[in-house]
Amino acid sequence: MKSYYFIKDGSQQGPFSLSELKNQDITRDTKVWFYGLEDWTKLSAIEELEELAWQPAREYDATNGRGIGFFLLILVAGTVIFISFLGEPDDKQNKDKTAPQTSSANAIYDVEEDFEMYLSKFYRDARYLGIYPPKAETTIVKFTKLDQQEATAHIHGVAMGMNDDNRIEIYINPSAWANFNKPMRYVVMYHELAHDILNLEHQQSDDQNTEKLLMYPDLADYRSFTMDQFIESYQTAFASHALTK
Amino acid sequence: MNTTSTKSFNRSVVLAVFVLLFSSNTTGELMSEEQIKEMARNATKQAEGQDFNGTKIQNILAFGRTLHYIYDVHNQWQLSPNAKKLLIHNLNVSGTSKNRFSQKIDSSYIYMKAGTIVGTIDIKHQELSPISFDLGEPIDLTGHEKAKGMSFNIRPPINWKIEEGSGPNTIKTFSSDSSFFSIITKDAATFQTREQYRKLLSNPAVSESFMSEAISNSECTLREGETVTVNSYPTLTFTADCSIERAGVEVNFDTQNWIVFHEDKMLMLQGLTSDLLLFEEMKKLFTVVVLSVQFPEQFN
Repeated sequence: MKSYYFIKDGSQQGPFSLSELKNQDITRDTKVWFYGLEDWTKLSAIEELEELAWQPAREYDATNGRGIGFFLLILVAGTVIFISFLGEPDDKQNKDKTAPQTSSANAIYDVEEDFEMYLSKFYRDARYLGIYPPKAETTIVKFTKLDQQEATAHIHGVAMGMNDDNRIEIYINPSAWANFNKPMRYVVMYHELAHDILNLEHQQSDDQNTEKLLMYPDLADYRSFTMDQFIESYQTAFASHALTK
Repeated sequence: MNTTSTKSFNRSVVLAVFVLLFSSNTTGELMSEEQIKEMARNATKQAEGQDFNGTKIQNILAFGRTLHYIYDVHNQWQLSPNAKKLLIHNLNVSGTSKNRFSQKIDSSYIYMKAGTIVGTIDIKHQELSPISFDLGEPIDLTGHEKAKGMSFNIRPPINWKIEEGSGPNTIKTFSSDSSFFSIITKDAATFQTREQYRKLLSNPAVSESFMSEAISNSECTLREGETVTVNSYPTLTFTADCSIERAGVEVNFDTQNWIVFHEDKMLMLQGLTSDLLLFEEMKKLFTVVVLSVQFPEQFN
C-alpha cells in the first residue's frame, strides 16, 4: 500500500494510507509526497489525489453545471449505467454529483482497489477467445460517487470511453462496489470494460435468462450472479463480438 | 498385577521389542514371508539364554505375516488387564511399531507356564499405525500474497511443522519426519466454469498434460488419476512414484496430488513421503487434509 506524507507547520507528517490521508487536516495547498514524486508537491497538482483536492468544495448543488453536465454526458454519450431497484442504501451524506475529473495520464487506478487486475484479466480473457483489442493510450478506472440525490435508481458504474479505442474511462460507484460480492464486481467491471475496450452496446434479449447477460443494462437481478454465470456471460458476449469482427 | 509381575511383564515387553528391532527393513520393500521366517529364526537365536527376571523367550515363529512370540513365564506371572496397551506403548516408544505397521506384520504374544498357555496378546499391524489423522486449527490463506486472490482455508495435520513456502507459488508447507504437504497456486489460462473444467478434464490427453506439468520438477512415473470434487470444484487427483537428485543423492518418494480448478486459478495440493512403505497410509492423511479445504465463496 502506498504511503503518503505531508508537511504541516513546517514539519513532516506521516506515513498515512490514502484513507488515513483523507481524514487529515489538509488543504488543496498542502504539500504532499509519496514514493514516485520527485519533490513535495501541492495536493491540487497531484492527479491521483484530485479527489481529495476537490472534496471540501464539492458540495452538491442542483444548479451546478458540472453535475448536470455529467449526467447529460452519461445520457448523450451512451455510456453505461447499471441500475438497481433493489433498494441500495441512499447515501444522502454524499450528494456529490460533480463530473469525474479526467486525466491525461496513461493509466490511473483508484489506489484503494486493484482495478488493474480486472483490466489485465479482461485483456487476457479477450485474447484467449481470439480478440486482440488495441491497447488504449489512456486508462482511467476510479471510484466516483454516483448515488443520486433522490434515489429510486442506483448507478453502479459508467463507461465513458466507448468508441474511442485510445481511451478507457470508467467510474465505479463505491457504495455499490461495497455491497457487491466477487462475481458481481467482475460483472460490473467486465460490463464497463466491454463498453470501452470492445465497444459493445447494451444487449436486450427475449430470453428469460436475459438478466444473466453481461451487457444487459438493468441489473435488477444482479445479486444472483454466480462466478460460473459471470464466466458464461462474458464468454457469450466476447464470442458474439468475435463473430462480428 | 503386583509389582513383581508388572516388572517382569515389562521386561518381557522390552525383550519383544528388542527382538522386533531386528525386523527393521530399510529397503522400502515389503519383506517376503520367507524373510520374516528367517528374521524370526535369527531373533530366536539372539534371545536364547536371556532371562528377564524369570521370563524367557522360548521361541519366535513366523506363520505367514504373523510373528508368534512364545514366552516361558515364572510362577507368579499374571497377565495385566492393560498389558496390550502397555505393549503397544512400548512398541511405539521403541519405534518398532512403524516398521511392523509398514511391513504389515501382525504379532501374537503367547505366555506359557509349565507347558500351559496362561495369556495371549494379539496385535494386528493396523493397530500400530504411526500416523495420526487428527488435524489442527484451520489456517485462513485468504489474502495471502501468494494466494492469487483465492479465498480458502485448510487444516494441517496436528503436530506437523507449518512453514511459509519458499517458492514463488508455494504458499505453505506442512512437514513431518519423512513426509511433506505443500499448498501451491498457479494461474490458469483464463476463466472456466466448473462444468467447462469437468468437460476439459474428461479428455485424457488434457488430464495427462496437467498431471505431467504438476510433477515436472522430478523424475516421476504417473500412476492412477481421476477427476473428483473438492468442495464444489472439479479436481484432478493422481499418484506418482518419483525420484529427485539433490547434491548427488537420489531420493525416492511417492506423491499424491490434487489440482483444484478454481475459476481462473489452480490450487495444487501435493502430499509426498519418502517412507515408501507408509505411503498408502499417508495418502489417507493427505486426503483428510484435502477434505479440510474450505472455499467460503464457493456458492457465489
